[in-house]
Formats: sequence, C-alpha cells, structure tokens
Amino acid sequence: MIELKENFERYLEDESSVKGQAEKVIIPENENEISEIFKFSQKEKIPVTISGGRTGVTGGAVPERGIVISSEKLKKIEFDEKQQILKVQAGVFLSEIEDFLKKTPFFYPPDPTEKLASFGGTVATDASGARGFFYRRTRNYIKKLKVILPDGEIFECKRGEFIEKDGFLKIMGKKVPCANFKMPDVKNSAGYYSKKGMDAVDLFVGSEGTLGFIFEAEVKLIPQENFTGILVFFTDYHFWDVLNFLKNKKQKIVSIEFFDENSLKLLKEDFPQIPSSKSAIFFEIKGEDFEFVEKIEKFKNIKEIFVAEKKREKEFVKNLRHRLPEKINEIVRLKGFTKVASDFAVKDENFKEMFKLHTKAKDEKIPFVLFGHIGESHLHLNFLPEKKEDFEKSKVFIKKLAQRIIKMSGTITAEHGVGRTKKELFYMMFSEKEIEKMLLTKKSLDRQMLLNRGVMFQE
Amino acid sequence: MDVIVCIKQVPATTQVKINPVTNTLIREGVESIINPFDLYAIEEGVRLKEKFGGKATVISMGPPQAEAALREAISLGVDEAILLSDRNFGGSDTLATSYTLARAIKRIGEFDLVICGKQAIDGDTAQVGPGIAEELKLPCVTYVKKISEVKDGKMVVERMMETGWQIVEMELPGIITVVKEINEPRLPSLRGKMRARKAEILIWNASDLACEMDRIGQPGSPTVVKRIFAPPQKPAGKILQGDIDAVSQELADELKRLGII
Ligand SMILES: Cc1cc2nc3c(=O)[nH]c(=O)nc-3n(C[C@H](O)[C@H](O)[C@H](O)COP(=O)(O)OP(=O)(O)OC[C@H]3O[C@@H](n4cnc5c(N)ncnc54)[C@H](O)[C@@H]3O)c2cc1C
Ligand SMILES: Cc1cc2nc3c(=O)[nH]c(=O)nc-3n(C[C@H](O)[C@H](O)[C@H](O)COP(=O)(O)OP(=O)(O)OC[C@H]3O[C@@H](n4cnc5c(N)ncnc54)[C@H](O)[C@@H]3O)c2cc1C
Repeated sequence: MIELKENFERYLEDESSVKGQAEKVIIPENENEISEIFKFSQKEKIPVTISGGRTGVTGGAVPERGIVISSEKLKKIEFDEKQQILKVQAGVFLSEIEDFLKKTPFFYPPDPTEKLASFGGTVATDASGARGFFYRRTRNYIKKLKVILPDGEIFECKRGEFIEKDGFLKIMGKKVPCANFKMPDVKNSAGYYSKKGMDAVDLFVGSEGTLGFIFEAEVKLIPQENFTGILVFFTDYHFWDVLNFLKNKKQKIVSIEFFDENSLKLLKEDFPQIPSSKSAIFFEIKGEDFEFVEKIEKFKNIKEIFVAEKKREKEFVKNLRHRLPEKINEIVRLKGFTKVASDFAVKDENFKEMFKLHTKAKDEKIPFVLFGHIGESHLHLNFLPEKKEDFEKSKVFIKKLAQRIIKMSGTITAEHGVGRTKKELFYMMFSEKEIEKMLLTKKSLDRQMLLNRGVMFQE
Repeated sequence: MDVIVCIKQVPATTQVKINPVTNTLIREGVESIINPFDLYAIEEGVRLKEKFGGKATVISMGPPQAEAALREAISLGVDEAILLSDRNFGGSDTLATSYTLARAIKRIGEFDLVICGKQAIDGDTAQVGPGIAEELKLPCVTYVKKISEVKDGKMVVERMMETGWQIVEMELPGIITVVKEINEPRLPSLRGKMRARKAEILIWNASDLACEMDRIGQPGSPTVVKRIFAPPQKPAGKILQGDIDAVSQELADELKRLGII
C-alpha cells in the first residue's frame, strides 16, 4: 500500500467545490490492508474518509480530517460469461466497465452521466442515470457485496442470505437495527434503505460509505441492446404532450430527459449545431423504429428533431448530455461558490406542480439552469450566482423549494446523495425520530462514528 | 451557388488490415463510415447553398454499398446524390479515381465549387482533390479552414499552414479541400433522415461518364504498390502516478535505465 503525507490536494475536494483537510492519504491494494487501517482508526479514534472517483457533487468524499482511503488501486474485473455476472472492484471506473464489456455481448445498465465515477462510489451512492426510467438504479444489479466494516471485519453478503427479521439484520455477530421507518415512494437517495424483509445488500448500497468500505461486488449483466436517441427541440415550454405520450410507452422508452432554455443556451456555446429553442426533450428507445419517431413529429411546437442512431451521432448526444452538468460545475467553481442545486423528485402525479415551483427560480433574477430526468419526475435546478448576495439568496430559494417538495412526500435528493452539503435538507425531510433510527443503524456498526464522519449526520 | 461535394466511404478505423497477397485493403467486417473530413466538406457545401441558394450535389466512387454514405449525406442536407459504380472502376489508384470523379463532375456540368476532404483516413494520400483540379484545369486550394468571402466569381479562403494561415483569393469555379477547423458538422434532423430513406440515388457507370477505358480502374492506374503495411505500433507511454517525490525518483531512474541521462 502507498501512503501519501503531502502533495495530496486532489484528495481534498470533489465536484461539489467543498474543500477539506486530512493528515494523510492511504492507497490500499487489498481488503486486508483496508481492514488494518480501519482497526487502527477505531483504536486511535482517527476519522477515515473513503475516496472513490471524487466525482460526487455533495462533498461525501471530502475529508474533514484524519485519514483518506482511496480505492484507486482496486482495479480488478472478472467476467463469468455463463452466469452473466461481472465481479468488479471498487476502483474500476464506469468507463472501464463499459470498455471491458464492449468485447462481450452484455451490458451493465446503470448509466450515471459521469463515467469517471468509481464503481465503489456508484454502489455507495446507488447511482442511477438517464436510463433509470427503464433500468432502475445500481442496487437492482448488485448480486453480492464484499464490504469492510468499520471495525475491520470483512463481510461478504450474497443477495438472499441476510434478511431483516424483527427490525434487525445480523451482520458478523452484530445486531444492526433497520427497516424501521418509511422511505419516500419516489426515486430516492436520501437516508438508508428501509423496508420490511429487506436484504443486507440493500442496506450497504446507497449508504454513502457510512457503514463500510464497498470492496467489490458482483453485478448482473443483461444482453446488449441497441438504443436510438431522439432529441426534440421545442419552440416553447409545451413539452408536456410529448412527455405524457412517452411515459405511456413504458416497454419501449428507456430514458426521458429535459433541458430548459438556459441549459440549451449554455450547450450551444460548445455545440453550435443545436438549434435555438425554448426547451428540449431527449429520449431513447430500444432498437430502431422510425415509425415511432415519426409519431412524435405530429405534436405541436416542435422546432427540430434529431435522431442519433449512428455511432458518431450517439457520441455527439453523449457528449452533449455530459457537458451540461460538467459545465455547470465549472462555472460554479470559477466563481468560487459551492454548488446550489436541487436534486428533487416527487411522485408522477405531483410532477407538474414541482416543475412549476422550479420555474419560479426566474423571479430571483439570478442565472440558473433547469434540467433533469423527467421520466422519473426528477429535476435539477442549478443556480449560477455571480456574487455572494445571490449565492445566499439562491440557497434560501432551494431550501424553500425543498419544504414544498417534502410536503408533497418527495425527496430532497433523488440521485446525488446527502453527503455533506445536503444535511440541512436531509434533517428537514426526516423527523427527529427517523434520523435517530438511522443513527442507531450507523452506531451499531461504527459506535465512535469514525467512518465518513460528517456524511449524512450532523455532529 | 452550385456545389459538388466528393465523399469517400471508409472503414471506421485507422487500423485497416491489408491482404498480404493482393496488397489491398481488407474491408470485410469493419463498419463503414463517411470519411470524417468529408463530413466537413458536406457541411460547408450545405451551408454555402443555404446562404447563397443553389444546389448541393454529392458524388462518391465506390462499390454499391457506398450508397449508405450517400444517403447519410442527403440526411445532412445535400440535395442530390450520385454513385459512380462499375466493375471497371475497381483497382483505381488516385489518378484513375481523380479522372473518374472529374468525368462525373463534367457530366453534372453546372457548378461553382467542388469540395473535397483534406484526405481519406484509409488511403491517406490527399491527392484526389488536386488530381480532379488538374484533370478539369481548375484552380485548387488545399487545407481550407475558412471561406471568408464569395463575390463576383471569386472566393477568398484561409488556408491552414503549419505556422499560421494563408489568405488566398481564387477564381470560381474551383476546387477546395477542407480541414476540420472549417465548421461543426450538424446532426441529421428527422426530416433529413426520412428524406434520405426515400431519396433516389443516381448510379452512373463508365459508359454513362464516357470514360476512356484505359484511364479507369486497373488499366488507368500507373501506381505500382510495392508493399502496404501498417507502421509498427508505438508501445503505450507510461504514466507515473502518486507522490511527487516518489514519481520524480522513478522518472529519474527510468531515464537512467534508458541511458538518456
Ligand atoms: C458531470 C457529472 C455528472 C453526474 N451525473 C450523475 C448521474 O447521472 N447520476 C448519479 O447518480 N450521479 C451523478 N453524478 C454524481 C457522481 O458521479 C455519483 O455520485 C458517483 O456515484 C460518485 O462516484 P465516485 O467514485 O466519484 O464517488 P466519490 O465522489 O469519490 O464518493 C461519493 C461517496 O461515496 C463514498 N464512497 C466512494 N467509494 C466508496 C467505496 N468503495 N466504499 C464505500 N463508500 C465509498 C464516498 O465516501 C462518498 O461519500 C455526476 C457527477 C458529475 C460531476
Ligand atoms: C494500385 C492501387 C490499387 C488500388 N486498388 C483499390 C481497390 O481495388 N479498391 C479500393 O477501394 N481502393 C483501391 N485503392 C485505393 C484508392 O486508389 C484510393 O483509396 C483512392 O484513390 C483515394 O485516395 P485516398 O484514399 O488517398 O484519398 P485522398 O486523396 O486522401 O482523399 C481526398 C479527398 O478526395 C475525395 N475522394 C477520395 N476518394 C474518393 C472517392 N472514391 N469518391 C469520391 N471522393 C473521393 C474525398 O473528398 C477525400 O476527402 C488502390 C490504390 C492503388 C494505389
């Protein structure tokens, strides 16, 4: 294992612009080394922060102090063709999984936009991408996990082997309370997974590194699919008919995304080919089906439709979609502020209301962009404040918006996780009692609260 | 402004395999695409026609499957597509290719400008554009990165050089070959794709073009290929990562080992 005592600035930040501190960075090469570090941490009461690709946008991987453990040397991938299972270690990038699978007739459906995310990080945050509309999220593909628990024990759990009973999971001799509160019934990344009869795998997936180090996992693969992407540009904000039409074609459509006028303006700086328009929907269908795409043409207020079926065209759309969040983060960082953004989701029946509330952002007279995975009733509002005063104003707006979303039984984070920057909203979303229950789960595995200290829970 | 764009269908990889017996390219099993530089030629042609009115025609010499490349060009806004296909064209070198394309351009008749890509990513000679110009006795400017003015039968273009660019005024009709800096090719619209599906692709053969038979195909190709081979692959570079001191030491050791320092 490698130990860095200086020159490790890059480990002190992620994509959220939160800055941290640490005494040293350790880069282990196997599970036993991680186990040793954890034991040492518990004995000496030194906080440990887990660092993956650091593409997180809520500061989860940013240390407050103590030791950083980086997964970057855990790079093994094994492929079992017969079982259609891939065994992946934490430090493998999503892009590397993609490249690896190109040689096989299979693919791994979770598709968060950022391909330099580490696999471990995507399991820890239960990442999901645009195709979540059809393929759901990371947890739906995890068959087996190897986790290093905060006390250094190495826990292997296969789906189906460890099931909640009477509010507890038995994990390596420890009684871990769980399944003791109600999760919102929407696309959600806030808080631990909680459901009667739940699997231990589901407790660790999405726990944001607070319950253990995800060392490796076996994931289910599915046969390669060919997708055609369609970009529909509108002359106004009346994309609802197209949205409803698509939502009713569940078996055919794999993703539905939205871009507002400001998003499109930003993108046009780098992709001058796209037409000037007020809003756009991007969706993907399975296979190639021109007759289906032609049906979209009859809807009103459409300025232009692009179809991406050739490799070059798909590459273009992929770059376009990735560029937006990346560009937003760049702008925010350039101005020296942290990201002020919503990652809210509600039930489908409340989506129109949520959308309307988000568009009220324009009354604040602060630059913003609005986009999101509208197939799953999920939006990202990002403010791009230029001065301190506007930065503060936009935070207030997001907080007020969160209150309304919570009233609708929605979530304050559908995909990015709570991390360090969404704790305040997290504490608004759940009652004191519910938070207390999650703390009990945490403490049953990490009594001294040393692992990923400051993530999810306030001190 | 009537524009003719020449496009070539090429394998989607620069790693072409070569048949060691016949010294020709093995094209089976590799996806075919429009030569990437030719996408910029198409885009420029379509933009000129959109700006000044007129017609954009695309031509390609190749086997019947090159029709796919022509349809794609139509989806990108070109009005008409012509495929030059004939068994007798087989085995053409750059001279025969240039001659054949020139015959087709002659047959089209009316035009102000011919646009080619800078070079094809498989053949890589960059000879065909200038070859056509020679055949038709037209002015030719290569490596064009910008068309800055079109006026009174003349055109001002910027030509990319290694250390800057040249501003050149040329007479029309003429020929240019373009580099990637010239524009951003558009995405095909749904309507463009629908049009491409239904479009009729004209096919012209050697007799349609009234070709001299000893100037096309193998007989018209004086080039003798001694050997075609892929250059040996450079081994991948090594990236040293980690602590700056450790990495510096490692780099110094490596340079010593290689006898560089
Ligand atoms: C341009 C851009 C686009 C994005 N798009 C999406 C998207 O579409 N969908 C989406 O869900 N997210 C998206 N994200 C957010 C981010 O990419 C995901 O959250 C991703 O899962 C984080 O992975 P990472 O390896 O970078 O994790 P990090 O940022 O390193 O860490 C994230 C959290 O996971 C913990 N962690 C990391 N590795 C492990 C491990 N091995 N074991 C236990 N805990 C661990 C960290 O401690 C931290 O709390 C995007 C980010 C950017 C910058
Ligand atoms: C002896 C010999 C035998 C050959 N035999 C064969 C063979 O049997 N089959 C075969 O496929 N190739 C064969 N070739 C290769 C063929 O001659 C070249 O691919 C062709 O002449 C174009 O040259 P290039 O690829 O270097 O194009 P470049 O000169 O680099 O291309 C520049 C531009 O010219 C235009 N252009 C080039 N080719 C065409 C075209 N065909 N149609 C329209 N526009 C075009 C495009 O705009 C392109 O961007 C042979 C070559 C030689 C020397």
